[in-house]
Amino acid sequence: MADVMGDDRLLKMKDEDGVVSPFEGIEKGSVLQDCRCFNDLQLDTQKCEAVLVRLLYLVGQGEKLSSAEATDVFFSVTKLFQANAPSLRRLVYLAIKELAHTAEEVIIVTNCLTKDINSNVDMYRANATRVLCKITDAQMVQAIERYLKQEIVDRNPVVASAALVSGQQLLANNKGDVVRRWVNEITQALEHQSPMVQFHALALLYQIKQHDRLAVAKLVTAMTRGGGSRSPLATVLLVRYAARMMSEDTSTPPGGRRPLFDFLESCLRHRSDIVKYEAVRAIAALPDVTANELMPAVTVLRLMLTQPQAAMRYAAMRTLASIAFTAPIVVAACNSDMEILIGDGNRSIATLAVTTLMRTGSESSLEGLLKQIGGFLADLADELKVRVVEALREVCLKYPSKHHALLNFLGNALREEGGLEFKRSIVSAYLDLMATLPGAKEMCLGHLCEFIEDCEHSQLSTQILHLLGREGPHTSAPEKYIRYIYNRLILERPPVRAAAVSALARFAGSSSTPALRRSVAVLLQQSLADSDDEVRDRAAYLYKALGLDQFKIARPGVGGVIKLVSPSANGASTDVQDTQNVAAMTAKAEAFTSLPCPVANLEAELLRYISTGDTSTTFSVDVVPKQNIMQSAEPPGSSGPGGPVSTGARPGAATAGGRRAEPKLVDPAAAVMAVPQLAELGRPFKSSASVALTEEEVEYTVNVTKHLYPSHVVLQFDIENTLEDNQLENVTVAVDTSGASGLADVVLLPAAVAKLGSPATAFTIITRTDGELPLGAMACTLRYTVHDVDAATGEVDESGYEDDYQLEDLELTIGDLMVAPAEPPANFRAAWEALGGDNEVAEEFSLSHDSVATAVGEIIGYLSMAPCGGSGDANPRARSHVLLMAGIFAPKYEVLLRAQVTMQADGVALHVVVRSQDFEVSQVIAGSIA
Amino acid sequence: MKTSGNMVSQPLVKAVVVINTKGGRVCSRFCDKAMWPDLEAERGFEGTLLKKVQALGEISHGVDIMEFGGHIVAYTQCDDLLMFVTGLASENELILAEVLGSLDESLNILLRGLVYEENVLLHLQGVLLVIDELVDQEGVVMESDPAELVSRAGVQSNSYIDNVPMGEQTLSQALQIAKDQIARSILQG
Repeated sequence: MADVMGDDRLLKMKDEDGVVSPFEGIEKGSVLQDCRCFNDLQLDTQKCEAVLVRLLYLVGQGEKLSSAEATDVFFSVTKLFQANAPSLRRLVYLAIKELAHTAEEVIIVTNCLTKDINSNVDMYRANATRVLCKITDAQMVQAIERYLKQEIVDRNPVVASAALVSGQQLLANNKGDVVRRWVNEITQALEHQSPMVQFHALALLYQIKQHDRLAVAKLVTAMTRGGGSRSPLATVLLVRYAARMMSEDTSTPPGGRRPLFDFLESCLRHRSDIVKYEAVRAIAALPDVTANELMPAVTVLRLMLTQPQAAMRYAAMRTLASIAFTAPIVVAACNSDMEILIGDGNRSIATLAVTTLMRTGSESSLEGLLKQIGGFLADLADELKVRVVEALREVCLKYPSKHHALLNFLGNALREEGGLEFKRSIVSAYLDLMATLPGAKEMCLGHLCEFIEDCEHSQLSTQILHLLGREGPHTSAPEKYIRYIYNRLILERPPVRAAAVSALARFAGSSSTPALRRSVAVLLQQSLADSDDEVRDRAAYLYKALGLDQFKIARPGVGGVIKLVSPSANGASTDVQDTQNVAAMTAKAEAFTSLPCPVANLEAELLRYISTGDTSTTFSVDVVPKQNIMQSAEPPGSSGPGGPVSTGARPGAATAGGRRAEPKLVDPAAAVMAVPQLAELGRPFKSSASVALTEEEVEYTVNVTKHLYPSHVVLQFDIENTLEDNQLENVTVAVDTSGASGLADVVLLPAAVAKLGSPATAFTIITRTDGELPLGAMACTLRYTVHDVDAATGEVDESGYEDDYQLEDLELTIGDLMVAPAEPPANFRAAWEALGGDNEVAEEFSLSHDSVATAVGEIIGYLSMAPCGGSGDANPRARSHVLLMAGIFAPKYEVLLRAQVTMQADGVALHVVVRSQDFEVSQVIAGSIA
Repeated sequence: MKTSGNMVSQPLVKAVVVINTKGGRVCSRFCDKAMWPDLEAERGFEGTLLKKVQALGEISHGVDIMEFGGHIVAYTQCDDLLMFVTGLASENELILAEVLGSLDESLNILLRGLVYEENVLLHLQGVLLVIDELVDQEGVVMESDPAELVSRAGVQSNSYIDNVPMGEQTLSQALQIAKDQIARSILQG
């Protein structure tokens, strides 16, 4: 293996006996014993040092001291402060830092350390400060504040740095409010002659001021105007602060940020490489950087590419790679330098160079590049190979005309040595390419067939077999795949054999010729006697279900030759009948062997079934919805109990107060289905996300979740009372449906009590009218009886009075009637063609968005359809974008939408084409966007 | 409004690791308890570092860089030792490379060019102190000048180091101490 060889060659190994560790065989017990020498009257400093080092070594190797042991050691260590030997003292400080974990231990040494802070030896002061500030509490800090303040302005950099960095630690650990009073001293330290002190001072100053944007701005402006700092690291800090200010400040027009940008640009010419590189990174990461602004930064990187230090080349390459994502043209200027790096000794650099070149290179240079990669791919680590494969896939999608060469390359790579991750990445690249390049399908399948002939990863084999079963029967020559599948059937482990049986059976489906069905029958028959249960069961079921038993196969004779006997001399009429039978059988077998719904939905429905405790009816997989019903729980912090109320909650029954939705998939319809009166409606077709109908921080907050049923609309209102001195009873939400279409009778289901800390849920059930879509705005009013509550005793006043509270309007939109399919079509074009243009509606709009990306985001949000093929993410700088979406419109119409968004002078232009199974549906959807 | 998540971080080292070529720890300082909560996590990380270096192939003579799993790592080889300085993937790798360079260089001064496992262990006291002066326990870079680091570690001429070049340093330090003392007594008086 390449790895092992590399290991031998590069990491010069010593003989096993070569290294004799001076710490060989030491143990905690004996070292602790040795610590007693700290108590000797006449201290032997060298011996003490040796013992301490041994102790530190043990702790470094992971030994833990018990609390009693640590206390012992600390008591002995205090004795060492009497010796005036700097190197021993230095070691004592380190030992205290490494060993101090509990308060008792700390108290033992605090006294000694405080004395040292007051010492006149700088080394003692500095180190005692570092140690003491690390282990002490806020009170102690006040006692030593005077010294710390003095130390900050000390001329010795060791002392000043120690105090400044300790200040950072104190602030970070919330025990150093005193630090905020040191601003004058720290500002003075900015001028210290040691660059490191300047750096530590600036970091601390920023840490103190970071929550005050104005103060930070003042600090940064003043410092940048002065041309930055003499210290490279302090300048790095300034660059970071300036970049942050520029990206936060969106209100100022581009011209307004000029001084800061000039500062970044001037840093590109800094004498320190660290600063130069930091400035490059900062510029590249600016949110709306232009190609012109990037140019000087890229020039700096280009120079770095040819540096002898690997770190420089790596840094430059890494940054170029990330710039290439958004601005490949700017990076293309470095192509010639990057090509040289393909041969770089540091493989990480070489890989970055290759993947970047694929993004920046032209179509014509691609083949040369492939040749170069081929040479070095074999000796890359798996992780790097995966990156190369990912870049290849991208290129393949970008230049479809080159797919032949690229696929061949991938095919070769598939045959090379490599781990599972690498192979998996290639297989998934193939899957992607097949989905987007229908022309390449058979070539891909061919390569994958070759691959499973010699694949040691069962997971990949099964995945590919499944793919062959799905795609193979529809290719021009299905027979050719059968051989590959059959080979798996006789050579592989059970899981793969089972997959092979399923795949093989697909070839006996409706699209196959009788001859093919017959061949499959022969091959499958062997598996009827397979040693593995799963394989045998699958074979037996499919054999029967697909009617393969009609082929009467003679048992192998003496010669072992299978003779096939045709069922009968069939005439033309039976042939037609046969075809129909086969089609029906295929459909049945497919329905049986595939899950008709997403797994998450099945899980949710099963849980619900169990939680009802009612097992009188059998669970049927048919009731499980096919669309994605699960939503990720809403982010914490939103007002109101938006999350689901606990199962079994009745309307009005108070649910556990303020329960946070867990950060996992939740079923938004769980609450409504838990209500007995509503349970008979079944599962809603769509449950929208919770929307607030009140401002935050008002007396009563109300959130609504809309549940759409074929015949009803159920509005679930989650009401929270934020007042302590009253409680609401008999709470309902009345809606005025006169402004909306498609709605008739309204039934209110009240919440019994809503008081502080226990939100309540009321339901409003509206019957839908036939033939009309429930759309439009409804005015909502919260009605309730108020009972005063004595805040002190919690006593509720018997007499209440009725009152109401106006809520914001509630709107039913197209999005509420649309669900995103769990699996949007992988191949949008095919789905688009399949749906046909009969019910196509096209519309033009102009929207007042200021960027294409925001318009795309809003369209997705409004229609709540599922974006296909990654078209949902528009580049924030894109001038135009094509959005492809799929959805299911209530109750069952499949809808596909193609939207072209183009930037214009006064907003964005939107061209929408909608196809669906119903013309009216298409019309409604296309028209709703405006 | 509090925006602690919004703060710009100073350059931070997440770990300084020195292991032998078999993966055994020589001395390491891990600066992020959240990232490596216990010894097991630390050992695991050291093992990963070794594996990655071996997988990446040849090591050049200077400092190399690699990136994996949210870490950016500067690494170098010294005889039978591998030294690493790691940071978050968003960190400026040149700073990490410089820190590693300082470590390498100061060990070379300290051990007079004889940097290999046995010798490092023999003189562990100085090595530990150098690392302590290089980065503090929270990962803040304290000092990066190798000569300064060695002198700050304050390892006195011992049986193994006859004379660390710090004669001049001590003199100027002594003068400085005297000056500061006078200044302090005047201020306090």
